Amino acid sequence: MKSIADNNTLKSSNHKVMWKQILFPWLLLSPSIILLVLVISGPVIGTIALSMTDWTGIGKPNFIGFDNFARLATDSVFYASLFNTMKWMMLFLTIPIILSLVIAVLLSKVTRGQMVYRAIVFLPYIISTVVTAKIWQWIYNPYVGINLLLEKWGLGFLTRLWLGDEHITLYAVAFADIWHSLGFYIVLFLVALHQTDKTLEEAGKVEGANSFQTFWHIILPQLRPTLVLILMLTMIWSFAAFDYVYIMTQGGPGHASEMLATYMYKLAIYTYEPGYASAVAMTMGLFSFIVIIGFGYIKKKGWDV
Amino acid sequence: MRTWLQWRHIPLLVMSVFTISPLILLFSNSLKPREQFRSDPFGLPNELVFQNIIDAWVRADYGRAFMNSAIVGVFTIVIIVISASLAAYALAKVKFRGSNIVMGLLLFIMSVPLGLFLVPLFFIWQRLELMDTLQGIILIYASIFLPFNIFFLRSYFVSIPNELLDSARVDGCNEFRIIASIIFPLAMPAILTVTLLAGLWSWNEFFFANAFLQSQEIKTVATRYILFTGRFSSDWTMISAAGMITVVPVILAYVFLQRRFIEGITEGSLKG
Repeated sequence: MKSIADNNTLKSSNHKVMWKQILFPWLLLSPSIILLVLVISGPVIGTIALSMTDWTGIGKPNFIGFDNFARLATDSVFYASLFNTMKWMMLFLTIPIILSLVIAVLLSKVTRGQMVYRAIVFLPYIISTVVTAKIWQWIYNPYVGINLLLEKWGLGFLTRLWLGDEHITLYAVAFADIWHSLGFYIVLFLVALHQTDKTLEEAGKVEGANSFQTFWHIILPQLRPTLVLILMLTMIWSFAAFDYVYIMTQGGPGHASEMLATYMYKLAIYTYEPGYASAVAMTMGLFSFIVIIGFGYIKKKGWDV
Repeated sequence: MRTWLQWRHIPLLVMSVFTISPLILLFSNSLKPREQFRSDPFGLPNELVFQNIIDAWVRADYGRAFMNSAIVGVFTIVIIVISASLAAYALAKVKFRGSNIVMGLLLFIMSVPLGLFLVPLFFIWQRLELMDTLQGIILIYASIFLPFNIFFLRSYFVSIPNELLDSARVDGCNEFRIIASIIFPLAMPAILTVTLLAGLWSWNEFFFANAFLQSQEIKTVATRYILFTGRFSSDWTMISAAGMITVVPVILAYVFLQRRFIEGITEGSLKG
């Protein structure tokens, strides 16, 4: 009898461990896991599979191996959108990051009105891109937009077909998106600047460093983790850039502002080539994957901490 | 020292004007008489025509769109708050094998480009008859915003002292009681931020709503706005008025809760 009772308590404590360490946490995670598998991970695997088929959305998909990728290699629209996406990324890795760093440094030294400035510059980031993209579309309108103002100011030589000239369109759209994102970058830098060690700055000043030297040798190295994070986010986001281009130009004129994301979207939704669209999506996914792995490696090496 | 500091206000003011002027133009054009817009699109309105706003509201059928966005927002928030806080509790306060793997996978999922799961999701949703339904878009939104919010809540839950939970366990609380009556009330500020951000995102979201909501009756405000601007493509007065209606709820919320918005969005990104 006794041994059975012992066995029972053993069993129940086993049950308890099993419950506490296995069933309970996974039970808590299960709603999230179900949602994420259904909406994200499952379909991502689907994209990988579809990218190797000629599926048109109806009927049975046929396995065609890497034919879609071979088609990508000869698709001039794909090259145009890849090239535009790269240009977009280079623009975003430089202009908004440098500009927002400068603004954040200025802002961090201002005590009066700092919160007001912060609230104003962040505002575009929270407003619907559908609306802000339309405002910029109007500003760029050749007949009722900024051109009128330029002419009135005697700057008529600056007027352009902002969204109609294939050499300018991409930059015009990127400018609007930079306007939208600056506040986000500024606030991230501002948070990092508040966490820097002020005694180091004082020490630098005592040693006779001017303000540029202080910034370059003392403040900037301390911002490195934030800078690395921002570079990573910017690369990932640039490769998926969609909203402003889609709303303002739909990738036009021609394919002058076509991005990987807009091209993929059109292929998937308007021209019914989900197989081929998936191959385009795969190139975007592959890029993010490389970026994340790369930054994971850098982080492990301790470069950013 | 004081005068030396003043010059910084000049670039900061220039930056602020640059940031705010497109929005001022939106407001001014939405209330401007149509005739004035044609001759003077950049000037302030001669008189305020509130009829523009009313016209846009009626013509865009915004009443219904607001209702749809409200339904989508509320259900998205409820699903996110419940599932993210349960998951965050497991990741913050329960030691179990695989928790690091789960964190890694979440981080990875968070950085998957939206385009990478759009296509199959489209066809899965058709099969499950979730295509072109509000339920369908709610499930998508809840899932996409989930990883961010799990991280956000987890970092908040970690800061809740374990002794508090242990003493509740001694008093005979089971784990679910602990979540409901200790974690939830203590984490209220974080949960409010999650609510606010999830509401903001679902209000503004366009990529999926545009692809998955096709019937006019169930379009959300953002997609309804795009449909409307397509129809009135050169009537910038109507486009501005509809745009104004679209952004006013967000701007109002921002005026009162800007700290929570700014800190929630940036802290969340820093943690993720």
